[in-house]
Amino acid sequence: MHTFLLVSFFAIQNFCLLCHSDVRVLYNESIHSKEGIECVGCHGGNPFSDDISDAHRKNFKGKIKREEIPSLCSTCHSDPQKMKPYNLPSDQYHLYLNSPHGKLLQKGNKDVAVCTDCHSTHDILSSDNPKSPAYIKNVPQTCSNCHSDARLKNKYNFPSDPYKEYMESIHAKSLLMLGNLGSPECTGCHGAHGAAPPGLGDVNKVCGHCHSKTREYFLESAHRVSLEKSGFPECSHCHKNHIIEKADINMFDIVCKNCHSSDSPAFLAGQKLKTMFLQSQQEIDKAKVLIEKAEKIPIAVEDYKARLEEGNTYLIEAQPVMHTLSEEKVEDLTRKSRSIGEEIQLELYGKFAQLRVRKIGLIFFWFYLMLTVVLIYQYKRFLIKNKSGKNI
Amino acid sequence: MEEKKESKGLISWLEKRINLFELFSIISSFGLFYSELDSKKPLKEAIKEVLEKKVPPYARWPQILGIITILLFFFQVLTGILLAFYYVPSINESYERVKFIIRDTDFGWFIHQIHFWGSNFLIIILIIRVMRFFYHGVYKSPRELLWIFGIALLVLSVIQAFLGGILLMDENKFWSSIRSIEIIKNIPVLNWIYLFFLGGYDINQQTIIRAYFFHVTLLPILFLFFLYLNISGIRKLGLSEIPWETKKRKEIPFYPHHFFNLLILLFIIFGVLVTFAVLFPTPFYKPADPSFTPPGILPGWYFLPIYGFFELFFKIIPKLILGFICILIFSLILFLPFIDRKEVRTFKERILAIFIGVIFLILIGLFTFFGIHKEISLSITNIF
Repeated sequence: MHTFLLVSFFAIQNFCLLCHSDVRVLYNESIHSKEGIECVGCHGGNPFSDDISDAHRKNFKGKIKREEIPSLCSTCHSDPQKMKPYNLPSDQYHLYLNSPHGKLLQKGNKDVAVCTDCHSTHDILSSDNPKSPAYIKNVPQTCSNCHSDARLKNKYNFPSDPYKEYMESIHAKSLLMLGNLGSPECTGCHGAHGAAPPGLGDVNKVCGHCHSKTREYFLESAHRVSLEKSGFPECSHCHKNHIIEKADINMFDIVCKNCHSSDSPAFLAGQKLKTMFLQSQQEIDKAKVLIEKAEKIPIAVEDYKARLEEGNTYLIEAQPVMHTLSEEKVEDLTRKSRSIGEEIQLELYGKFAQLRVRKIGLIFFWFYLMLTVVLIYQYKRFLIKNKSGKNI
Repeated sequence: MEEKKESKGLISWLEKRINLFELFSIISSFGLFYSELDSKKPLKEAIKEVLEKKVPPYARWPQILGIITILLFFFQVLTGILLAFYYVPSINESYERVKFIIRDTDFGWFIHQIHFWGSNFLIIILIIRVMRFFYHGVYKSPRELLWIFGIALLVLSVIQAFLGGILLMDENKFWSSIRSIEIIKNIPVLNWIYLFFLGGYDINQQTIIRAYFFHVTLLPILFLFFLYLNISGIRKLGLSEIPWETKKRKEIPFYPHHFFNLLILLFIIFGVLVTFAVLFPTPFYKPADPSFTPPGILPGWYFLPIYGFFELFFKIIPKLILGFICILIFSLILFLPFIDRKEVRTFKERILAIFIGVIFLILIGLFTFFGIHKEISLSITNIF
């Protein structure tokens, strides 16, 4: 009776989990379990038998060898027909084989990442699931498992600790602190299954995935040719690679000096761009402070706010345009922004001056008030005098 | 000459048709005249008699606080009515309407600022008035009720200021009101009264509607009622003499002496209000965001001593007991005339009472300080 109950309970699942209870907990959580992909799908064997020797007979593979994992996963994940219902691409295996990871694996290197290193084994979750190691916010940590590993670093002479550097970058702050899922993690630049470092001439293309306008402007600039000639990686030469800091106008003082001496025409041209930008920013900031002051009075500032936004937009646009190194183009935007800032200030100062009339009016008010009081007082005295005169 | 005859005719014409005398006596009950009207005589004669009647000189500063209260209340009602022309008591619209009043209507800012400063001055004047009642022993028999009316007026003006703050729905007043409500929540009896009238400790549509209703109808009427009781009490008992002034002052006729003095006072109060409205306008803040408390928000200044008292002791003594202490102190103040029943009024004979009063004032000042500087009160409580 008991056996019958037990059998009927597991009939819908499989007998493997009866013995492998440690795996059961992990497996039950996985996306494979939810989609009905059972143990037999990867490990073979007979899931309907509760006898160990019988269960481990039919095509049983046991523990999958590390080097066999990608090809095993690909049996399903490279089948377009099987992947279609889940809207998953079927080219990952091909990408993987052509990636440095895949190539090294084919050469017999067992240190490289295989599918399970990034997706985990029995508890594989959808990469949309925040618990998954392949979830966008968890990717840096997942990659760091190998790329920050001291043993592997020593063995393969990794030049730096990319994870540590990335965590200090503006991209990490945006992704992990502000929750901006559009901000790139490792795979954003290097690719996921076909992960590879971009080649020297390709950095601007990779950065251009997101910073498309900036790339366009950069391609127009004199820097492009000179960097190509000198063999420096374009964007990362100034902005660095993993430790990319927030682009700041003060970079003109520091980064330019790496190549140009501080009295060179190129450096001075950079300083000119910086000055143009700062002047406009100053005017926009002043206008912003005045708008805040006006709001507290309150003066109608809706129109000024809209114009400030426009001025700010020019200023934001001026930043990527600076990559063209064209004084003319940058000036066109910064001038527009500056003049909007100045206009707002001028108009608001005019309104504040109107308010000053209130204070000046106060002097007249008190003059007439005191005059009235004196007249009332005089009239009172006049009445008293008259009355007492009459009484006498 | 003909015109004069006509105006005379109009009053007598009206007098035959409506009870002009009663109408006039209602107005004069609120401090316009010092003495009562003789209803047996015709109105004109009665007024003439009242005008000529000698009154004690009002011009001594401590004794004009009552009349200033009336004048300030008059300004509050006037500006309040003007503000009500455009105000809408709604959680979504209030802020925009207030903005419209201040920004887009002619002299809206002026009316709003006068109303704001008027409310603060009203509370300050009433506090000074209560203090002067204590200092001069005005609460002694037979003026016990005058003291209670004085306290009632003060409490009403504080409630009015609090409810008026809720109506603005700006960031500063909203959170300041929340702080004030937190205090009220911890004071027994007061919290029941608050819950009954405003329906809950949150600020929502219901709160705004109720606060508006009480602010513009019930409470002004109550204020007027207590004002009337106060004035009629003074008319019955006469102005209290300053105890240590032995030389009796010469009495003056109501008209023109007293009447014109009042007129001058009205002008000067208006002048002071206008000056404050123009030179120190209260800033207009952002709309209230219930999910974000701006830093450094304090309750209304009139609640600061109680706030400081709670801030200082709430870690050591349960809030319920602190609330009871507040209620106890308030009851002691309210029923002071029935506690201190000695009839002596001079300074030398009331040294203990004056001493307690001074200590109380110092404590109020100290708690206000702790209310403003929360970090100091917190570091003090951490010592215990």
